[in-house]
Amino acid sequence: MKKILKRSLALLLILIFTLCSVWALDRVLLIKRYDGVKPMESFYAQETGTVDVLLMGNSHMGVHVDTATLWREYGISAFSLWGGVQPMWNTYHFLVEALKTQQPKAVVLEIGGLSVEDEYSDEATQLKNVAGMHLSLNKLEAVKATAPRERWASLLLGLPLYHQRYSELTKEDFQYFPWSEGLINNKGSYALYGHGDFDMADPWAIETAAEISDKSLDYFMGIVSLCRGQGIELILVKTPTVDLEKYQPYSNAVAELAEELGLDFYDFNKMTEETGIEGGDFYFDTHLNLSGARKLSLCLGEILLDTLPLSDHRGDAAYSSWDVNAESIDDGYLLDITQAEDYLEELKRGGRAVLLIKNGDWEKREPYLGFAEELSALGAPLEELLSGDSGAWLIEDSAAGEAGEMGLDFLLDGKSYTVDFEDANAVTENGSIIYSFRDLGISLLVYDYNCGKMLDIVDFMHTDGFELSRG
Amino acid sequence: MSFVNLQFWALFLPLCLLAYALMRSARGQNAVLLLASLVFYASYDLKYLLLLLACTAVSYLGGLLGERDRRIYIAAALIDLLALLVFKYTGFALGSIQSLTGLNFSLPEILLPVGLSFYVFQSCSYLFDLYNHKLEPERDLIAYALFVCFFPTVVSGPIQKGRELLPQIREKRALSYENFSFFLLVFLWGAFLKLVIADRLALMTDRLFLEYYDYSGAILMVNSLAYTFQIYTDFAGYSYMAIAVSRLFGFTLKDNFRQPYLAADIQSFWRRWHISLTGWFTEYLYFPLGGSRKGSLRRYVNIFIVFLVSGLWHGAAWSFVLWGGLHGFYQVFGHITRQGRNALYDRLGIDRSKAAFRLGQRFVTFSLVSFAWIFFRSENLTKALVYCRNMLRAFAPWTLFDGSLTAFGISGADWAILLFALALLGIVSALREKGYDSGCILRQGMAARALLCWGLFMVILVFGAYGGEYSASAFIYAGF
Repeated sequence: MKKILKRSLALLLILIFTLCSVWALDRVLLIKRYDGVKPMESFYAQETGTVDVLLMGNSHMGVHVDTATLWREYGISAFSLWGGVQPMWNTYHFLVEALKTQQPKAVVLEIGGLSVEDEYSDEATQLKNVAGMHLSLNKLEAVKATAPRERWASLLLGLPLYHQRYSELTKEDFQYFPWSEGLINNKGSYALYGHGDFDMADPWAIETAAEISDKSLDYFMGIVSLCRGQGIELILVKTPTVDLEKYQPYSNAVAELAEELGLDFYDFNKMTEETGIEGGDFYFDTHLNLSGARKLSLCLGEILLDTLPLSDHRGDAAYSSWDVNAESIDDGYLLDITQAEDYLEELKRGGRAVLLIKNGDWEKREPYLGFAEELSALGAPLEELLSGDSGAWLIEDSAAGEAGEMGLDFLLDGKSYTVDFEDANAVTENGSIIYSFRDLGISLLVYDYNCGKMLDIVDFMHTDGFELSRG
Repeated sequence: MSFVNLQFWALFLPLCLLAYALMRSARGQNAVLLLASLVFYASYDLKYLLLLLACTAVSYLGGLLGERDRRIYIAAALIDLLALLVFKYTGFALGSIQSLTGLNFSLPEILLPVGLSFYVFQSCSYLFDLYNHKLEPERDLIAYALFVCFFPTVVSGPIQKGRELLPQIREKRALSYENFSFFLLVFLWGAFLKLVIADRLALMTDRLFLEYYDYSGAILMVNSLAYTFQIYTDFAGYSYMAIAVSRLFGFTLKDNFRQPYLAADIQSFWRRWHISLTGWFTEYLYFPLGGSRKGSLRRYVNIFIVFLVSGLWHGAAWSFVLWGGLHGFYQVFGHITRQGRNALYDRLGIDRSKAAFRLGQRFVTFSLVSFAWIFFRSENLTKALVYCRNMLRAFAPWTLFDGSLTAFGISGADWAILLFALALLGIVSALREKGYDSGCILRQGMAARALLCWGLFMVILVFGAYGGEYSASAFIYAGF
């Protein structure tokens, strides 16, 4: 008997150890998609009850609404829980999952998912819209709605579908454990940096209303009931797209449906005056870039504040992760800018210091004169910028516009920076060279207080006509 | 449903074990296993379950009625073999007639029931053993039906003999810790062979045996080597899993493979490869034909007959016949030239007891076997011959190093895993050859065994070619 007990205990321990190993393996190999998976995994990391506004739907929600703008401008603690090409059934199950830990005051639902007509999405879309969910009955139901029976088991377990990722693992793959830091700072939205140039179509010209599939409609009604049952304000939106042929008939159908159900529906394709969105705010024909997303988010923020009694959480330590999220999105935006004017404008956003280096002498005429004026608005003394001497200035808060300190040695965030115009023609950080001057001109070394490092180094060279360039 | 299927692990096996554990008699246990076996088989195709039951009924009744007239044993075996002929060889026979005569008629589409060749041979072995007085007829229908339909072996063997399995079926078996340990270790090893090696190699071989005209001779040579390992790890993997699952329920089955690629000659290869089938052909075909008792010429003829039939057993196509014929030729040629070769070695002063000589013999045997697999795997005889020609014509060895090897679904990382796995297989084979078997591991402490099983499990979980981008290959031998 004692032997049997001992063996049973040992087997139990081995089983537990094996299950833990499989769990750890799953965490590492999990496909870390920025849509579907990462938003859901990040959502689990949020402090209970901190999300006031839940942004839900397909990529039109995830990319078009910027949680950073909602936070920075209005102090709204919004989270974008979305998945690429997400059908309504996945949105429904995401909502069920979300309501386990959060009690949002509003759910903003992007209705683009209602355009899914197929019974099931393609296999990749199926995976990314369930893989981030933790094992639960809700996940089982989500899997059943998402895929045909033969894929239920592998979708539910996930590992059979992504175990072959062993050859493409990165540092990020080891940061999805409950004790890992970082996920809490991600609020789901995904920024596309870069510009396209598209002609905006006329949404009023399309008057037909599409027929929404029974399955999509059922799950949409499920979302309506769920929100009503929990006293959550449901706001329907159709975010801007150039591809109106596909989406406008659904917007028209939803407009009728919303009226029947007594729901607010904002068709932003018909609100370009309010949003100010134009062709250059698109990354490609179906998605806005961050510049467009910021415009839309400003407009949506106003609507939310008008509709709901939302608190401004800025400055509240419990919500500091929204600050980090906003800074991270802004940093990405900064790194992607290629125009000098846009760059200097973005530096006025704050949270950064600028080490400005003027190297050498050149004839002070246009375009430098205009450029120097813009630099002075940032905090560099115009007179010195126009002088013939080389020099360096530290502008400790790029948003303040206050004159920076001139010198060769600077202390910034506990690190020492030295600018050497004599021998090395270089900037050192704690004794190590981080930048060497290339030519006559201006260089900006942008320090981000949030990252605690030099975020970007850009040059505006005399020989290039003071166009923005990166090393 | 197969052994490497979630349904099997999550539902079938636990339920089966639970019901089995609750039974207090051998008959009860047999009833549970029979029911499970029928469910298992029906999961492949329900309608072919009838054929399995019919085959079982014929051999069961034949076994009982044969007591009155022993010719009934043979008649029942012929009826079972007739089923094999009809389902497996009708299309081949009519197709061959069409090719030879030029007659134009439509060929019937007959699908081969899964495992037919295995359970027909198993039934026949029972009837032949009765005929030869090596066995008493089994009167218990459940016990006999379980012998034929036993789910670990019904799809791909190993082919069991009544005199070995039926006595175990009649006895009550216990679920034991020792059997569980054996099961875990051997099953995981089988799954490792199948999922980490065979199914990964299948990504290459499935494509290259179809598109062989697009690739250099060097790549085709690597491909034929890949198939050599694929078919071994696939079939041996299945056999290990079948043996492991059987042991879980208290049955001890004999090994079906014994390091075949370490054989020093073709005769030895066949004593190590698919041992249960070789044993069947030896006992029920080669010996009745006269074996080696009627002179050398007759012996060679018998060898050829056995291998030609063996080729046909593996597949109804001329390429399989040629594959069998090649092995027959290898053996006969080996016999005929043995004395001459030995004399030559002696004259050249080559010491045949040296390890280097044995290694050379193994290399030659492995190469001959590997070459023959091209005929086994190719779709038909013409394609096999063209494959061989292309292998020699445009050799282009640089294609082995210019990235071509990673162009068909096996990445650089996959190749590294494959080489590591094959090296492990080589080490295990060498140890087994030296006499270290699973028993050596099972005698170790629990911590060591648990660590080994855990390691194997994790390796399979991560590096196994299953799910996702891989479509798990069906077990190759289930097609026979």
